[in-house]
Amino acid sequence: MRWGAFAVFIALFALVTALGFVAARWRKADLSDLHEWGLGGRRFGTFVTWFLLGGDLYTAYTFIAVPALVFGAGAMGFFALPYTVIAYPLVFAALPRLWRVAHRHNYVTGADFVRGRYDSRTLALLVAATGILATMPYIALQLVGMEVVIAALGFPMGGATGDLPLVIAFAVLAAYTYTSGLRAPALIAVIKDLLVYVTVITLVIAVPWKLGGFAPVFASVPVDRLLLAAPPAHSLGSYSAFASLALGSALALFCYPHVLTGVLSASNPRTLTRNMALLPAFSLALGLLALLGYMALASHVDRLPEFSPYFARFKSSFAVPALILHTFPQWFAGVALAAIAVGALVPAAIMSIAAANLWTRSVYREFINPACTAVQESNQAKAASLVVKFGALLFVLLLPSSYAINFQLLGGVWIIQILPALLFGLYTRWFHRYALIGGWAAGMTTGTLMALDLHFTSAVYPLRLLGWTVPGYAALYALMVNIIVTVAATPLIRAIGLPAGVDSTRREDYLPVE
Amino acid sequence: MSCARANTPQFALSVCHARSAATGRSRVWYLLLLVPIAATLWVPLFNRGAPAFFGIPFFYWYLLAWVPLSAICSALVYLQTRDQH
Repeated sequence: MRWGAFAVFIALFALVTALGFVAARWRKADLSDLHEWGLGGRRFGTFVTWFLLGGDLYTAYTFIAVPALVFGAGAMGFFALPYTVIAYPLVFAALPRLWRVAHRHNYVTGADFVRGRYDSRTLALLVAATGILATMPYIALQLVGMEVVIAALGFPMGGATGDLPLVIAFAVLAAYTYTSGLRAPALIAVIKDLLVYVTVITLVIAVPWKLGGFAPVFASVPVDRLLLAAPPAHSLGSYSAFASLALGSALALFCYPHVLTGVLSASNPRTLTRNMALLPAFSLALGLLALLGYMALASHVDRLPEFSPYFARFKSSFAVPALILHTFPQWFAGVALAAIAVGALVPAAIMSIAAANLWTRSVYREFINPACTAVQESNQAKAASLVVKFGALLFVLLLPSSYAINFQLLGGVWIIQILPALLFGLYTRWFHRYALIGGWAAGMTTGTLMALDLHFTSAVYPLRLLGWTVPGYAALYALMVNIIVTVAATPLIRAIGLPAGVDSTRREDYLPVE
Repeated sequence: MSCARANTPQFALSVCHARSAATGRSRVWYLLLLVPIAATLWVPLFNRGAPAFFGIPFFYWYLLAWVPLSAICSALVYLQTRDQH
């Protein structure tokens, strides 16, 4: 056990837990109402939204996986940076429209909007199911991130004693999410982001200082990984892979339920547009984090005998924890490891709330108990948040962690398939609801087949077209199939004369109040 | 205010014209949001090592520099289209 690190870690964990329970009384309201429990009453201002979305988008998995990818694969791992650079302008231009229409019709999820816009509970159910399916492995990945941290603190790996700290941490999280709803992760996100910034900035200064500047850091990177490989003849090679991973990830981001939950909880659309300019501060932290992968490489942490059992188990995912333990005295290692662990709790809480909202609105209220009261509705959501979390916990404890990573990869391919219904739906009602269902099915099938064809080893599918090879993110290719089917099927279905349904939103619902 | 609710036809017409002209001008600002997207996705533009900056190869500092640059683009769009919100 690393007792010094553990003591600091436990102290910070206790502080966060206390905040989680206190949050129930923050901006006091009746938490037996779904939009209070599940959206914090839509009252978060610019400041809280900034921390909440930052805590939401930059998860423990980001802290572990992005540097791990750079550590293992070099420049290709840096696609995460253009991804966050383009996500904000691309995505946030559309979100104020969603916020306004959701506010006017009391929509709590993206599926609620689709239900109202297209008058189709089948389409809404598909959107909700896709969201829940994609969210579960994402929560599981947060747990995988926590496993790495718990091992780094010196707990024995594997077995019942190894799993116990993880189970306890998650049970605590489940308890305060149940009582406080979205207020808990919103309040904790402030602490989490402060810890993350302190850790990242300290690492980015301390490690190059030790190694003698950035030049030696980059000198230790193998030459063939320092830049993207130039594409071979008749192929777009790593160039199209890099760009499509960045673009596809940015588009998928908009569709994730936990992101929409964070967005809809803002107090007004201006909060969102302002955050479009403020959130890149997190992208900068992400870019620096990615560089930590190279710093771990330059420090040769993977060759130190004390870390070899960890690298054997977690592979390059242990690069950042190893760098932390190698660089800092124990007490600060405790702070840094707590930053990663709390970085897992915040998004896990928001994700479980988002999945619970989807279940309650699109399945429970729609198909099981349409006459439910507000109290029944919020109780259902609270219970669902527990089920989702313990489902993810079982997933991680019973299956090898490679399953969580594979399903997360599939989750990205799946979630992007709701983009036509959601994003295009904000601008036009031209698409027919049945065409959207057909496009969704085509995209889901194509994307899943591509992932299977790649044996889950990569998200990049080498598409062959007119003698050229264009490697690209499978999610983006599957989305193209989805869009083509939707566009082609819409006039056909209309010609047959199938009813388009009644749009319960009006044009002015999407526009600012004059 | 809504054009349909204006009192006289002349007044309604002039207000509608002024509004659509202002909206049209601020719409152009949204094109600025495309600049960071193009600049960070067009790989041949930045896939090289020189010139390095404090030992950081071009590829890396170029992409890092686009973080604040895109924030500036977003902030400009926000400020220029603020009257709409």
